[in-house]
Amino acid sequence: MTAPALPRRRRPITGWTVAKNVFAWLLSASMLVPLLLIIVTSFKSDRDGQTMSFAWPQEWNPANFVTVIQKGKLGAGFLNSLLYSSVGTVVTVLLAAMAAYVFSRRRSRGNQILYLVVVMGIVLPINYVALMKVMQLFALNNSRIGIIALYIAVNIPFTVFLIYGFVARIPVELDEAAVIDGCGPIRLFFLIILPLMRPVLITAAVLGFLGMWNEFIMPLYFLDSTAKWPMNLAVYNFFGRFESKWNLVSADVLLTAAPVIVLYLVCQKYIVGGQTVGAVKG
Amino acid sequence: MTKKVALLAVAALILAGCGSSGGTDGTSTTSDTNTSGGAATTAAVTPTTITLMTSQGWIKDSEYDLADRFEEQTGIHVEYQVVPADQYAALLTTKLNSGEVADIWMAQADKFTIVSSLDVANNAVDLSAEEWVGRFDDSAQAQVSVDGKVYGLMVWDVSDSFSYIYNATIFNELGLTVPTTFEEFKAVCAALLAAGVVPIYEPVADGWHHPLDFFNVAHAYNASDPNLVTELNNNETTLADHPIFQQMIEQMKEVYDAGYWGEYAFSDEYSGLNQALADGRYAMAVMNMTAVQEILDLGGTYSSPTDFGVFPSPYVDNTVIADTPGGPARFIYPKSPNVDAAKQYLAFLAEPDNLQYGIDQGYFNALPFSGLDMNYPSWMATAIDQYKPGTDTVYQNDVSYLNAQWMDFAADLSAYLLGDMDSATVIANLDRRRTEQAEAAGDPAWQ
Amino acid sequence: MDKKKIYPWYFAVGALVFYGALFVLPGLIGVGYSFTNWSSYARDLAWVGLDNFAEIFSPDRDYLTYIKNTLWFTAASTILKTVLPLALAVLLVKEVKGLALHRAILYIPAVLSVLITGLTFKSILNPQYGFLNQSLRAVGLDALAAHWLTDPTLAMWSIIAVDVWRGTGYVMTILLVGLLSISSTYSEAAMIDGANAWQVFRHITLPLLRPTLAVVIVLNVLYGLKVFDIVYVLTNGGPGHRTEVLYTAVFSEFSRGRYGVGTALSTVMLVVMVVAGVFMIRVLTRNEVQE
Repeated sequence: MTAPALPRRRRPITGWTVAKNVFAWLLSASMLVPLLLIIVTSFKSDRDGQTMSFAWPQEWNPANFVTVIQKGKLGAGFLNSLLYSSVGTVVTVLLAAMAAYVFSRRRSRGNQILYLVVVMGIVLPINYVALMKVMQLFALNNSRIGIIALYIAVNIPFTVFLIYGFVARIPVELDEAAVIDGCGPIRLFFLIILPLMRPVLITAAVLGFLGMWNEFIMPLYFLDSTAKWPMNLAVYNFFGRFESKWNLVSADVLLTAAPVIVLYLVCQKYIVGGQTVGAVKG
Repeated sequence: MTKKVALLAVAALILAGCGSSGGTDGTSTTSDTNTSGGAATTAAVTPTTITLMTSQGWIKDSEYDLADRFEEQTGIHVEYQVVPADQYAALLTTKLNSGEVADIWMAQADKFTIVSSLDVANNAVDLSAEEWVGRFDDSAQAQVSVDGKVYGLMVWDVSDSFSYIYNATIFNELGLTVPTTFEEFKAVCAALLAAGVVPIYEPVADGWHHPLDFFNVAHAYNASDPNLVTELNNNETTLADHPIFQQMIEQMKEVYDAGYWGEYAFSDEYSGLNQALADGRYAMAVMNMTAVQEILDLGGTYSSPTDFGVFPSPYVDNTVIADTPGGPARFIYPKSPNVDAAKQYLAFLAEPDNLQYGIDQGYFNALPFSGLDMNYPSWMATAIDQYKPGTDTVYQNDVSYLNAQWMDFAADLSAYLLGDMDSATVIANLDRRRTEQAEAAGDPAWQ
Repeated sequence: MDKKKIYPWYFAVGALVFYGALFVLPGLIGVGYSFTNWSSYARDLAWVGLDNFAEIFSPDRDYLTYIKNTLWFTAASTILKTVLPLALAVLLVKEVKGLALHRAILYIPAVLSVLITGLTFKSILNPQYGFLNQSLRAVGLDALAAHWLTDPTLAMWSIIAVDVWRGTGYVMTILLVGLLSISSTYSEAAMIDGANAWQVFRHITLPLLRPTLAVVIVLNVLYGLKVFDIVYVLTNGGPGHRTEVLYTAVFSEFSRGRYGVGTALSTVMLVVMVVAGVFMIRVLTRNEVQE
């Protein structure tokens, strides 16, 4: 990018501006490095693919992806991942929105404490052995419903935290007006507040979905059959047999990451949140 | 964008529908196979699927072939759950602790671990009555037995051991001979380094490899005190009481500090070992004798069987390759509803023809069962005759409570090599962790 | 208005049930177990009082070092992941074409799983074949080619660097949102009054950005205290124990089946977190009130 000699305007294109733009591009490029490494490696032949490196593939091997899909049983894994992540996300976001709304609007002593206890969950360690006992107690172990319930429980704290901050920005006057107009609490929340929360709900949903999609420890512990394993565990089942073949592992990783990257690209303006502020102000 | 949320919700509902219908499909297949299975065999209800939980790298491809054959014969599908190696120990202990584990579970077994951490008396089915037990070698059998009862099946080459593999061609060119003492070993390393060859490939990065020498020089330990193993296991002495252990790791540090492990030992990985030796960039490495074939298969600079030889770890003047009778073994979970099918599968794997299949396919040189044709290359047979009299057993299989703390010791050893810990602390930590485990397990010797 | 009626308690029940049953309950059970000898070796569960805690705080054990490492990681990564993104955000908020595109790209590391990031950086930072050292050598800077993850003095810094790489874009996007929401009329007015760029930043931008910065700092601190996966993937606590943090220690205690000590360590962690958390949330709420 060079600076053409434009006629002077209010904001002239100076060397400084050019430098800034170049810098911005360098910065962005550095963020794409791992992705590139994985893409390049995923096309390598078995011989080149013994290590991960930027060395250009000597021959391009798209067949890696076919191998991975067939041997790694990625189809079933994909459907499982989609099921767990989408149901988990929807329930989490809905429940968290309702809770955050009450905590934020009615700041009684009890609610404040409850909110703190919930938000602490963001940082609390999970004790897998104790959790296993509890899962057994509720007969949730080794079931699809169980893993979804677990995802919901784990994601509630951050989601509540995220939405709580947002609710505070929705004017209380709205509620008052609605109540005066005869709205009950349920209609008030679902018809008036929830639509206003739209931006933060989408942000929360996308973040939750990403987290659930990338989770691999919990399914390992709480699902006992490979038929129920999500996509990234399917990776492992196949990983075990092709340990040092980084080309196949990369292809696998790429296929697993692809859905979340696409989702992110589609929804990125909600995560990055430019809309959030706009919605509040508007 | 409520539309999007709504869409998500709808998608979720549809998917949930898929999920449950998938479940129904599953059950219907189950009953289908059930009927066919029932028709083919007896009226007894045969399960259609048994699960087997294992860590990465423990199941050879030959076994997957056998599993397919088993399914053809019996209608029983064996579902392998392969867990990443670094998660396996934590996962297995959690699952055993919570009382829910696969029908067949696998673990790195030795006679101590199966009692102390695996508690096979409660977590595994007694297999003593199985036909294959009669053909199962005594030394391997001892590693999966408690009080005379056999609990596990080990389909693993336990005749092999970790020892030093060296590049005989480079040794000859430089006029070097196989070292038999630590001093000779250092001289050999110095000569190699002077000639521009890194003496030893030591993949510290993997975390498990560099402690091998410490456990392998069992013969030297036993020679220093013939009652050592017994006294350690009876809690009548400690490792710290015997200077040879400290001396062992001090010699290791001497070698490391002299640069004989090369500049990159801490980031070198086990997966790069074969290539490093095949290229002749490195002259020695601690590895399984069997693995030499993998180096030769790479077709590097050194790819003739005469290019490589074997000698025992020479630390503390050790002269014997100790036996390694332990290995990954299969256990059947007693609370499993499919105990009979699981027994049937283990019996199938232990059929002479099926064991031989693994050897013939080149996955094992030998298996711990009588009546099989072993497949040793001649040089390996020679090495076994020369260095492996069968008098000593690697320490993790001979002394209690060592195997379970392998990775902790490995981290301590790294810290010591880097100068973050002293040698006395490393050995004292070994004793301390032995005591912790023994006391937790209620070992009578520690009461 | 009757708040109890408009904002009924049962709205919170769903979230509390899931969270309470599958998060708080196991947590409490865990705390209970931290006073026992619970382990995969023990046949009978016995009450051991504070033994496990005594072990953790014993000076001849390494746990205190792990706590120190954790705090060190938290402090360094929080400072870097606040200052650096702030500088970048302020720098890039104006006069950069396609800011939306940049923002989208900068956020990508936060989308990728840590596993992927970790594996990739392990490869990039390999002293022998890694991309970083290869590049340094290619331009003649051989002296700078270091053992990034295996040199005991560098390892923690390398982990922090990778973490900063991963978090900078994420934090920056949050700060950009904050910056964009600050109306430019304030700064323009100040400029007309003769304020320089630094004064504008110091007296206008920074105070207005405070709530956003507070959120960022809280997230960074909490993340730092519970850091696990990036350390686990990059060094697993090594070389030796140099980069061992609390959660990697908890993980290895659990792997060894020493649940009593493992849960005791988590309990210590829990106390630290609760204290830090309450303090942080206080700070946050105060900001909100000011707003």
